[in-house]
Amino acid sequence: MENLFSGILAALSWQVVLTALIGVVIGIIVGAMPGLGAIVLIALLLPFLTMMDPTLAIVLCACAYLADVYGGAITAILVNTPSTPSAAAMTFDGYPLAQQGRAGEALGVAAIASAIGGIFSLFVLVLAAPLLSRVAYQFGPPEYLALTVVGLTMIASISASSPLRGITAGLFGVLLSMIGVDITSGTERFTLGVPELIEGLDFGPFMIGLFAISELLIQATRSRTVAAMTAAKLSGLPSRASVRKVLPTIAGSSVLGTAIGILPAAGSTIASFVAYSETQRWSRAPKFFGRGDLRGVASTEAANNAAAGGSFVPTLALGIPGSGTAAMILGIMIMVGLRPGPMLFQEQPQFLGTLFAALLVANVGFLVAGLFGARYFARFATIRPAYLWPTIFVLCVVGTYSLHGSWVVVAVMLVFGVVGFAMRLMRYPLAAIAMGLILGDLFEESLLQTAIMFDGDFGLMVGRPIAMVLLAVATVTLAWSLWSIAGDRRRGDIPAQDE
Amino acid sequence: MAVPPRNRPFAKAEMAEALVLLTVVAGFYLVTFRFSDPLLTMEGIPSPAAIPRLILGMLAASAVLRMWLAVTGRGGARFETPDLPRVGATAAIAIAYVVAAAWAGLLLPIPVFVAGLAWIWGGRSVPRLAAMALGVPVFVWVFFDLLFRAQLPLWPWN
Repeated sequence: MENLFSGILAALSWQVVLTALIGVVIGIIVGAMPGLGAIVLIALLLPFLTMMDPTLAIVLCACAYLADVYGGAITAILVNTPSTPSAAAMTFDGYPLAQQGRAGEALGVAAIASAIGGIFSLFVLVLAAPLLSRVAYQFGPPEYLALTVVGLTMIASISASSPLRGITAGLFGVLLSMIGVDITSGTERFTLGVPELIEGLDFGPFMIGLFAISELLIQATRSRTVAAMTAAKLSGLPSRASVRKVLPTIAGSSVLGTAIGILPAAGSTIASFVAYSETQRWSRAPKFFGRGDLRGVASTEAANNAAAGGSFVPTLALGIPGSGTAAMILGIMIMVGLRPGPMLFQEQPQFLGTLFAALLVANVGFLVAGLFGARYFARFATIRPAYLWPTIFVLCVVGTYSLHGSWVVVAVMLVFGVVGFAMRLMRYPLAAIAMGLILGDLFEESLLQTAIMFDGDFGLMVGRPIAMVLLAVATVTLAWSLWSIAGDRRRGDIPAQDE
Repeated sequence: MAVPPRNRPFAKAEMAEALVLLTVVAGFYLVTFRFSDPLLTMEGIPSPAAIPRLILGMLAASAVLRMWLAVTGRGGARFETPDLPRVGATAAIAIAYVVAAAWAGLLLPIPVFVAGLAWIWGGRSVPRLAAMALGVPVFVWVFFDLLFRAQLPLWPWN
């Protein structure tokens, strides 16, 4: 822990601060563009990240992720278009405020709530992640097996509109993780004789195809629509009295958001909707919600940024992604040679110190950017898709080729673009596939090790209390998900979450 | 109350979805016969096919459950219908760019591709199209070649 705190102070080099601020600017710009989310952004950055210093690469994508969550609020308030699913709840009160000529106030409260939520979750991350990693340090293969089972069953919650599709997508991701040479026998599996697949399905081309190319095809059907900025005049910043009024809401939503974010697979979208409904439920004047109430803006924004920060806790401490975007960051950490999980705290305290310091800079950065530059960032929402997406496709092709210098991986990217497009049309959550792919390796490895350890008798798991508790959690989660399948049709209007 | 079969507008789509999933599972399952290892199985270690088959079994079960939901009218999936000609044109021009880039280098086909795709998507501003046609290759060259020194076939002679 001491190493960690000294690392945080020592980490504030100009390179880290500059990278964090670049991440903030890129994140807000992309967050403000409908159709582009944090996952697509990180997929596009992937080729550059592999060429950067590993620590700075993770700093860049983590800061861009947090800023992207805030960027979604700008378009939700000014354009009534939630560019990310987590910003959907922001339109309930943000846009009515903009129509009343109070857009500046709404943007200011959103920036303050974002920063407080983000900084609160960062403190929880600094305190809780090392403790959690210390517990996880005692884990053996049976505990890891149980933990991956928990992660896989939690995937069901990613698809609130259809847990069955979430589970199916997660299992498909696990299956894809088995492409390549088997670790025990050296047998090639599902490689179809393609040499580029022997070492497994490469994370970069797979993710770029699945998220960016599928989004290109989705945008092809929607490119005629162009966002229009609200005609409402931007008023000034929020007064001290209005900020004081929303502070209790921000505090409560930050705690709620962080707690939801820490749960594997539960992300910012769930946090923002839960925080909004809880704030309304406990309010003395709930009738003002939905008509332009600053508390609605504050609760949503504090919770979704706190959840984004909270999702780093299981990601860093256990190596289990807290959300779809955290799964991407986890994959990139592995790509650049970092091993997330309990050993990270023993082996790389300097890296963690740098990351925490950068996240702190990012939170302060988008507070300043949000208070003084939101109206300029909002202009990116009005860029016509016709001019944006051809450029993005070129970057995908060039970036994917640069990862391996092979046209086969470009073909793999295109194939998974089509697969992702088909799955999105059928409402499969793509983030679940990413999480399945990440968890698949750990699942198979721990399953094999447990089988060898117990000589094939999995009944011996009963003697491992932590594993049994985790399996009980997984069973309850799965039972709840299967039960809620019956309500599939009723909940069909809840947005699929790809954050 | 279960919806009568004739009034289930989305049952066919869900049934088709389940059948596609079952076909994919069957395809993957057939491939697993190529990688069984009898020596490992004798030593008590699961064969290389065991865990993939476990996952495939679960995927098959989810497909069967989807079929059941379709038959009983409890699924209620509403699939988005894409603008197929537009998606097809986008896919065709994108593949054409990749083929052209493999033959003529990454940079030269970019102006035609970006301007062409933007035109198909409704971009009609000539100055913007011209700016894209020139700006995107320059951006790629500066970032990937000059800044990051990536080994790329930018030109036909690379």
